Amino acid sequence: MKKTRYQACLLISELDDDMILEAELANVPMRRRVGHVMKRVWLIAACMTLLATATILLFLPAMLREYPAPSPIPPLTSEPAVETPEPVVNWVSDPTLVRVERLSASEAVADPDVTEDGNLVSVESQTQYFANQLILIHFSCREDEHVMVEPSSWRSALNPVYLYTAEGDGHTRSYWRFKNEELDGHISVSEELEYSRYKDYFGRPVTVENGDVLLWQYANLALACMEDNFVDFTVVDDEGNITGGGSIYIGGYDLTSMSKNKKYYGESQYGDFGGSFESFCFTNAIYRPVVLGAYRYTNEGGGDNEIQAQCLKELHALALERRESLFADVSSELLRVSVREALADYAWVIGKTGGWGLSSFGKYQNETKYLIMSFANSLDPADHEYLLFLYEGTYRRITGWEVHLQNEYGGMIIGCLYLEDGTVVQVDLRHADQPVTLLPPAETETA
Amino acid sequence: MNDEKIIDLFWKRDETAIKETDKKYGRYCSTVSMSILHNELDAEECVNDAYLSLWNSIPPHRPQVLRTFLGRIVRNISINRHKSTHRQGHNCYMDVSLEELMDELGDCFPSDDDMTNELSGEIKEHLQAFLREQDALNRKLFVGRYWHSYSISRLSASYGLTEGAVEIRLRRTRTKLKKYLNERGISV
Repeated sequence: MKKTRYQACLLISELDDDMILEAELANVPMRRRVGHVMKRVWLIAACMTLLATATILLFLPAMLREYPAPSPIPPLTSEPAVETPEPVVNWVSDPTLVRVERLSASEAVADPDVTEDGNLVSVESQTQYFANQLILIHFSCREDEHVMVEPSSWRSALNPVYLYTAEGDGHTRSYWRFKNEELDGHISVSEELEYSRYKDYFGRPVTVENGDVLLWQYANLALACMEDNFVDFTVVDDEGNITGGGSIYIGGYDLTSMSKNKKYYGESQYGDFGGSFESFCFTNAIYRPVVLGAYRYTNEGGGDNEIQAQCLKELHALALERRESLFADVSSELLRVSVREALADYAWVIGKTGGWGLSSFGKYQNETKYLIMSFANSLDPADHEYLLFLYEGTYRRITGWEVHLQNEYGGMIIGCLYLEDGTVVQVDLRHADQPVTLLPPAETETA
Repeated sequence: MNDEKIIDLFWKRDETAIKETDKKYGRYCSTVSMSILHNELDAEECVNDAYLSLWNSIPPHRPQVLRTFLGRIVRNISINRHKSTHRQGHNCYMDVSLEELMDELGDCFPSDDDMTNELSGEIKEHLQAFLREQDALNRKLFVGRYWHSYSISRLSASYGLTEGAVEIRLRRTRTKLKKYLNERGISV
């Protein structure tokens, strides 16, 4: 007799909630039943078609004899107009579906206990990381709905998401809950916030019930600021139908301050950026949480999820277009020119070369007063159109440089930079307290 | 109504709790049960039994996630129902999928005859730990297949894998689980 394994099935029933939830797919029980009905409908339709075809074939010769063929249609003088069917848009914009807000450092961190240990990365200044990058996302779905929130790429997935509910306690493996609805100084961060623990959860959708608030924390600003920093969300009802969705852009940048963060991801944790290079994080990024689109399907509670998912993709494409306009009010003309490419190239320069020449030196701490931004499109030294020198909040183009002593990567240790206004920046990184000295144009001549 | 309020109703012994639960999770429960029994009447009965069981469980329990708490009850009742109908010789249902699942699970779990309560508890612990160690995709596939009873084709479509790839991943996970259990003194 065949051995049964009902006990095994019952054992599997006892798996933890988060495992069950994470594996749950949008389920449409009716679809299966509808599918059976549809099969019958198709069968009947096919039979009818066959019958009709047979009838026509049977009577066609007689019909042709009775109705002779009409005279040939005269050729058209111009190409006939091709009618393009109107695209079917089955969703409508719903700005009330989601709203986002940013908490400033002072609002977010009232808890003096948020210490280094509680931060995602155990390097200095990380309290600031924890403090600065809190984005609250409020969804207003119906009670019979929930929202599946998904980072749109691994870059945005680097930022952990916290579900933040009124009476939440403890945490599960798919998200963590803070204890209080208001950020009233009781934020507790469990040990599980260590990066090594939650890195397994990249890309995992988070389920949000109505009234919950998603707390989006920026952990990796260098990556977060660059690209693909979108959060897609889909509203799903209890039957598994997609009833809405949208896309949120959460990002921003402010190049006035950077922080060198070697420990965080300088240990080859990420294949693409692997290596022992030093990486950089923007510590004072200005976040621009923007709802790029939020919509509801007009055929709520039904419809084809595949079509709806396609709509979601289209919306995301629209979101990508809109992103460009987000940068329109950036103060620096040079930044506005090509911010996306610039940031991407900057990352590339840093990542590929382990710090290329001028772009890698400086004192990248919170008290940063100067910074070299290489916005070049290549590593060709002649291509320095976008090479900028930032000093106390002001950008100036670098028009040339001399390297007198370089490090193993070709980065400048001793040398000088020539700025567009004639200023000469003397660089000597051996002196940590005063690594650069600016000689204004007037002094340059005498120097 | 949100879960907290529904649970509160249970705690107050307010019978509208059942109504609200059915309103919110009725279809979900039917889906869970149908995936095992493939019979609407039986599924409906199981769901009703599950509501009764839920009524008896809350209080004292206060589930963190009502959806899975209830889903688990429905699933267990449905499995037991499946088992009893087989014992009685009723084999007229489209119960291939649970048979399939049990066949597949034969790779890594002892049969019912060999399963004692003690062993069952032990395996449960190891199973949780084992799945935690797996990468997310394999875990989702495993739980999707054996908890939610999803078909291979559905899993493949949902995760962008070929059906063969899903089957291979599931087989590998089962093999690893078997090895994992063996290493802990549980022979299959």
